[in-house]
Amino acid sequence: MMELEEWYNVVSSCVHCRACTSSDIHMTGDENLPICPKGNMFKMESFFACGAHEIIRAMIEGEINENSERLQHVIYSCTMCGYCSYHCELYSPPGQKCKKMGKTFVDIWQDLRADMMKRGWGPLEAHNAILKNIANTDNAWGGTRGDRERWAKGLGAKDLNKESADVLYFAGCTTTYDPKLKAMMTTAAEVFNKAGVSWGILGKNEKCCAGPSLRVGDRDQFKAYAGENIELFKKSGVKTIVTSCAGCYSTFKNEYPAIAEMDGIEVLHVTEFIARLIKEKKIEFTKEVPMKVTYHDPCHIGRYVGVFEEPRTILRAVPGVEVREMIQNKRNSWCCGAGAGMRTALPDVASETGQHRIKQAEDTGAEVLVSSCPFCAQNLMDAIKESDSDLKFMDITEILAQAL
Amino acid sequence: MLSEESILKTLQHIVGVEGATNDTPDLIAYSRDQNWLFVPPQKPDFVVKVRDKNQIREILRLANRYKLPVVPLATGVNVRGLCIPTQGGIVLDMREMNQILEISPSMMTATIQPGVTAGQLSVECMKYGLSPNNTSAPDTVSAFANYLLRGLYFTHSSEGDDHILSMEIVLPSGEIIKTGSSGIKPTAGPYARGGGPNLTGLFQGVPGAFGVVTEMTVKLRPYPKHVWVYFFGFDDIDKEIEAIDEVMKLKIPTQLTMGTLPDMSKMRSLDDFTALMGLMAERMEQNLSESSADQVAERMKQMAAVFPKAFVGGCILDDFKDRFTLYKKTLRKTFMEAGGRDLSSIIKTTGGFFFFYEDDMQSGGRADATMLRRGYYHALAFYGPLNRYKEYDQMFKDVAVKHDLDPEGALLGGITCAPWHGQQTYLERSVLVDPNENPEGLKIYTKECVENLLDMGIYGWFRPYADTLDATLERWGATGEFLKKIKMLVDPNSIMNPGRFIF
Amino acid sequence: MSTEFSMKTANEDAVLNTLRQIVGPTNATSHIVDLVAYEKDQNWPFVNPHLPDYVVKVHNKKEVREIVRFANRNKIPIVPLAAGINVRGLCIPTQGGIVLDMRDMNKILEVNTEMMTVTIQPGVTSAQLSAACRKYGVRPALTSAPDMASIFANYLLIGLYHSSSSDGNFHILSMEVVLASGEILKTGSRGLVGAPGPHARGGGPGLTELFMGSPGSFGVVTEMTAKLYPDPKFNAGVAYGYDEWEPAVEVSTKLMDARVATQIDIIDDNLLITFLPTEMVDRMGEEAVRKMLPKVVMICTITDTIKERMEVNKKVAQGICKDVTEGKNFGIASMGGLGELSSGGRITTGMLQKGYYHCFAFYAPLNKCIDYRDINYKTAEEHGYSADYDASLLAIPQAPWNGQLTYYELEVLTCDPTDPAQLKQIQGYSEDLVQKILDCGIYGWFRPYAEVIDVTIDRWGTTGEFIKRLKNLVDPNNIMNPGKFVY
Repeated sequence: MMELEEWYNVVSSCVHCRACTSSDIHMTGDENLPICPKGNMFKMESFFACGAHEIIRAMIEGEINENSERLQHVIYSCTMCGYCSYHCELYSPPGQKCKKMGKTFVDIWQDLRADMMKRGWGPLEAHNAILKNIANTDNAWGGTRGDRERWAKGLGAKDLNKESADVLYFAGCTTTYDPKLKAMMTTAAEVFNKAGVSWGILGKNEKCCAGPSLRVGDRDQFKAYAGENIELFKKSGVKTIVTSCAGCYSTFKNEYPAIAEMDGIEVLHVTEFIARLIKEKKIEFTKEVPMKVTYHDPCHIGRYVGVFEEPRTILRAVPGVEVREMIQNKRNSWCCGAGAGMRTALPDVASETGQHRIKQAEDTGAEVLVSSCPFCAQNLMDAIKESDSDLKFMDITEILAQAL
Repeated sequence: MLSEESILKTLQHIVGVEGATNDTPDLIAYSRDQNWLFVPPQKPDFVVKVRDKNQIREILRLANRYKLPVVPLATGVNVRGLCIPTQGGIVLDMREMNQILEISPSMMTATIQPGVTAGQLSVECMKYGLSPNNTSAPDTVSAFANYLLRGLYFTHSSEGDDHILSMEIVLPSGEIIKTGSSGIKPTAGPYARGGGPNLTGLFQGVPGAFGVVTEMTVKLRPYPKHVWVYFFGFDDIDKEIEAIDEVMKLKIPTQLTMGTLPDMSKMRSLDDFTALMGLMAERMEQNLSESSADQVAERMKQMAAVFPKAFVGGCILDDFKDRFTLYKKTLRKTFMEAGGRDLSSIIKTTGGFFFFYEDDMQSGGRADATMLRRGYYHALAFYGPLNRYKEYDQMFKDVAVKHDLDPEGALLGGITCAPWHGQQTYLERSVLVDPNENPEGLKIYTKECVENLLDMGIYGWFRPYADTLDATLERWGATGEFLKKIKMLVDPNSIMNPGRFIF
Repeated sequence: MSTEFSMKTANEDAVLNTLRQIVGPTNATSHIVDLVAYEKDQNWPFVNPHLPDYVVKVHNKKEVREIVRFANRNKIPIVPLAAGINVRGLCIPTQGGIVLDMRDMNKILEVNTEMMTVTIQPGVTSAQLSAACRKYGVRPALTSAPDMASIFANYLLIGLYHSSSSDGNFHILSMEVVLASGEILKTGSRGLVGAPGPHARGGGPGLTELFMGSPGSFGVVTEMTAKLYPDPKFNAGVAYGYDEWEPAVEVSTKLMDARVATQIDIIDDNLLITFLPTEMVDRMGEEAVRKMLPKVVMICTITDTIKERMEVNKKVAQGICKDVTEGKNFGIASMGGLGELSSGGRITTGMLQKGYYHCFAFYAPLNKCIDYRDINYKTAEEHGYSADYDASLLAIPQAPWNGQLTYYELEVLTCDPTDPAQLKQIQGYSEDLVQKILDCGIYGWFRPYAEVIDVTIDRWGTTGEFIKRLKNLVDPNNIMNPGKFVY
């Protein structure tokens, strides 16, 4: 977490090469494809990373010295997918400077939003509602704390407030509180049990990872929750945290280390964990599940952390599953559109971005669109409806459970 | 307005008493050329022989002040009336401004003045083992004016038609501008295009209508070590055109001329042959000069048995034997696979301008003077895509029939032009006639062909000839209007060769 | 929040309203949040950042025409922008006005393999065009600029290509220009009604080239037909390293005389190191990498559609290189390896890695290479740079080879202009260098950059005056990118 002024050197070094606006043709089948959801939607230069760099520079220099709807629109329509950063890092100064610092543009955009909040220029009303929910109910949805444990009844989960286990399964707010996503958790549990994993949950004591707080700019809330969560994790005595939520995952991996030591607790995404189980031969998928699928890489496990192969490995471990790649995949994945509070604040951006992805999925000829993130799940399921598509959406663990 | 006498006095003051004249016998010599049918004869008011650009500058200033037309003349051998002073005025005779200022082997350039002829330049360059891009016009033509007006070259199909790197122009106001790399002081030399908008191109293709070009630096090339002249006959012109396209796309450096041939069985005399074959006839004439009429007729019959309906002829030039051999092989293969017959041995007997390098000729192709043997060499020359050759050819034939002219009485020849984009081909329909026979018929034929060509679509005319200008201006739209504005900018009093270009 | 609403400004003006009527409400803006993206590029040390008054996104030539007419009537500057990646401030609206953003006017209108031409709109990028052409087995002249550069603008400004040593750098056959008055001028074979296509130069004076080499100063070019070439199937490279420049120059001269090369690049170690993968340099350390590199590398790339010809040319090239004994065979197979010949070379943004890329590019004869090298080194040292590490020279012989035409770049790649001391240093060096280069004599500048144009006009004499008159003819109100060219 840096102050905005500290980014001056980076943002000033933008050479406007526009690598942040389009895919590399060598990586996307000789096509120039859009990579920036808001840029693709709103077209104005201000919406691309090169425009954002200039806006930040102008804010630091005082050239932009007052708030406006336009400024908010440009800043908050970013899903923080990180695609622009990946490209810039390959070729151009701002991305390469960030890389040397161990950072990406996502760090810059987060610091920008923190700065907006500091100035009293943000966040948006819809974001404030999220922050309020977290403050009042420890989750982004305003749901009851009891729901954090209700889903796991009878599923073999240990109560880590009282017992010990090897693995803490961290469901995350969205997975917990959206009934449509319940299967993500229950099927994960099934897989753990089949593999003989010793696992538990924090139940009512599970709190929001506070990744959403950071994404909309509330550093104070983030620091407070991160600190508390780290203490809880350490107190639980687990060796490993496994989560189905890509957002929680990237927050624990990328952001928490700056807050406090995690005492060597390993953080894994559920796909990493299951891939390991397969490798250690602790689980095998034997039932045939004939299905043509295409896998959508969530930004928060993909570009943010680098988990691309494990989901594919485990899909291919299921007999009958044929994995087809979309034209923009892995590090070149097109964002689902849900990130950084988009569904709440600017649903039109989320929708159009998601529908763009559905079209790519349809083009593969797959029957099922698979992913491994609750936000992606929500937005892609909505996008399927909005596109009137015949595609089905499934979380990766749902497919695995069918093969047990 | 000054009196004629006082103008003459002023001119003589600039160029010396012997350098300026308004005597009728002197003026008559400049009043017409072979294209008098289309550019009616007209005497100038004065002829001035100039030797350097300062003289030119003073004359232009004078002419500009008193609104006297000025017609720059390098040698005047454009055969199309471009130097005829249709509105009177001063003919600026630059024939004696004929120095080759520099030949630079390291820069592969020659810097020349207007009066330098093709023959002169070629001979001088040979001393350095170099060659200009030689025109296929006669020896005596001004190489300078030829480059300015963009001519036809022995390297047309590989080097194209644009050989000027930089030049110096005197505007009617007397200002001197330098284009290309000459522009900025100090320059690393006049040897290149330079930066910024290309002004050189603005003054090309314009018959002295924007100013007087007084110096230019042109490209040279190495004198070729290896030369091969070829001649293939085709009966299927579609296949021939495809094969030519393939050779051009492979960038085999060559000069490539193509076209249909008349029905040889109708030829009886040498005169028939040379009238039709023109540029390919010189050797035949030499070879048969001692033969009787019967022997000639017999020879014609033999030729008729082998001559094809269409031909491709030209030469390949190169400096490296291996590459040269490869080109020969590839070109031959391409043409033969397209059904061509190798008739190179026949062309050796007939001769022609293809042999320019092979014969080690140190001058331009004199054979081209044979085009004038009937008294008038009428030609419509334009650029168009090769794949429309047949359409153009058919149109010319149809119009000839319509006006009771022999449709086989002329060739539509094509010379491919580099760069090959657009299948850019120089196309020329020539008619060799006595201009006193049926002049009105020829004019009507020309007018109709011009309009038909414009209706069918061409890339542009070879040069802004009198017979094409008006019809073209109507179709040049905003481009023509823009050129008028340029003309007004550089020549507000319209003194530079008036009536020869836009106005 | 709706886009239209968010674009509202406190002082909506009649100009903006008119612009919106032409292009639609979301395609014209005067909001500072949108304007800042256009106010500077990497050349800000020499072209002061300046906001436009408006940004207008256009999608077709009808819109362009109406905007230009309107601007002309009201004397509002227009800065045409195709992609804006000229890295030299040519699209910075230094006198305010309207930035005409043509990025979304990006159709490839025709790829014609029979005529070997392609017809494109301004926003077509290098990568886009090369990918589209590849499908047909052809290639356009490929620039060494980044992938996302507008290939259209690049041809217009006369760029540098992967085949400049053989194909030259004039690739436009005909074009369509909207003049300040709103008239549409068609050059080349387009000009003649009924012509069989825009595929050729056409007759008469060369108008196409009149509109080239200046940054939109004479009008807005809305369409062009450019040359295509066969996609070369066969590639070879002959590369030699030298301890000095002289043998590299000698070899290159001979190679160009022999006409065997598709491209010849002569580069020094300071520049070569920026082309190498940054991971490799970081891992090994810059000093260790430098020890591996020769001082000067000559890379001769030979590509062809005829295998035997390529091999003949390669043999000749190898023979020439071996005859000059000071050189050592160098590992890189061809410059193509540093940016494939059949696609754009993103890697060239390597020169921008250090944040700022200062460069003087010009045309001059190859036989003066050592003079320019010495001028750069001396001037660099006089201004506190190291000739060994900071100053760089690149030479690329060009077709046509008459005049030993060569493209040069004199560079300093190590400046961080956000440091005020370094900013002053680069400005001092630049001011000094341009005079020295001009005093030495060149053929002409690569482009009319801000750092060079004023000084050059002083030396352009009547030719410069004539160009000013041409400018005044086509743009009497001086609205077309004012201040970027002769005035």
